[in-house]
Amino acid sequence: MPKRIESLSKAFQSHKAYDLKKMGRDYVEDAAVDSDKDLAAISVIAYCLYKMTTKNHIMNNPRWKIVSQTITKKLNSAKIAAEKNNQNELHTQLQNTIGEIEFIDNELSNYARNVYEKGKIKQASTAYASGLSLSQAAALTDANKRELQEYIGATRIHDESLDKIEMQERLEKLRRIIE
Amino acid sequence: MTEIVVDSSSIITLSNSCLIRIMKHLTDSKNINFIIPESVYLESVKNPVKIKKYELNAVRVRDAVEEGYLKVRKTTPGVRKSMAEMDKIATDFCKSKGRPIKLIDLGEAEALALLKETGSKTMMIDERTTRMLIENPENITRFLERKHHTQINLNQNAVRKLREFVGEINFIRSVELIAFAYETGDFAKELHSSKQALEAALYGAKFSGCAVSFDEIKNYLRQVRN
Repeated sequence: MPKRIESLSKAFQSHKAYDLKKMGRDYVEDAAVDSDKDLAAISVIAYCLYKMTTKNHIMNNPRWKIVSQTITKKLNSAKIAAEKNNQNELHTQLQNTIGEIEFIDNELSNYARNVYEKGKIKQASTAYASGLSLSQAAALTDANKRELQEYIGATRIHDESLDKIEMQERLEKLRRIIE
Repeated sequence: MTEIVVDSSSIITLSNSCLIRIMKHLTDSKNINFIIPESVYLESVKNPVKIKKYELNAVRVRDAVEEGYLKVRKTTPGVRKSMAEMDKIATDFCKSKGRPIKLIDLGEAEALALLKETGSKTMMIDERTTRMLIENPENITRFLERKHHTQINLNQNAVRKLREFVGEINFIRSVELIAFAYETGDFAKELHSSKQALEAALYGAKFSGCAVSFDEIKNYLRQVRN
């Protein structure tokens, strides 16, 4: 965990958007296997930072420098907590980082749905795509289940061929049950 | 009377696509009893009705319950016990590097527990994992291995326990319910009865998150007459 937070912090400081995006995806897949909510939170943070570092109106804002320094400090505190295996402190520092992200996003974003809410949905959809159930994926990142399902509906996740029983066969069963 | 236990994922699909009243028409014409666990009601109505963004869908589901075509079953001590049992089986189901992977949550566990409690043999569920876990556990293991690039060990004892727990069960999704309502004429009470309206409704369900592929819908529609 400390190494992951450190990698995230370094990628953020050097504005490596692609690395942040990849970390977000990799971390949530690992979080799905381990049911690790803190790792899932780090994944959401990675996604949010990726989104924010790709937005010129945020990066060019005079307040961004201070906010990004604060985020880096919080991530460092989270890393120290992880090194000490202090779960409560780790959780607190991750929530503080999220608080900073939400604050700057609320101030500068053009969208009604903030980047943190989007991040929870996006990362939960990756957890669902990697095999968790809808409820389990939503719980992992604290995403809203309805929004998660709608988001998944707009992706190609359900077009992966996994079902052995096709629609006609299920329908035939339903006819037999009811008629 | 046929009882169908409905998971929250199907409630989300049907309320989102404004087709929830298909359940009412099928209840009237085919004597079907659609039931949801108490937790699904809380999740679909009690909490979202206070949030503007979700209020409309929450009102639709509440209306369905108040009109009586969607019945809420209380979480009895029996259901709670079955949920805990189901949760344990699901946690033991597969392991990666010696650690268990928990694939389903208490939400899905409660719907399955309700199935056991009511003795119903049919469940409507639009999310994919719970359905696959029961219908095709070997497939979900292969899927997890592919996704996580690691060996996944399926616990055959847990598979056996799961099959014993749920027994013979038929899974349907909201798309099959819509297609069935089209055949019975109940669909026409909501939208005009045409192949285009059916197609639109099926894709509407897919885009609301029902786990169905484009190919499945296309294959089905090929054999529907205009």
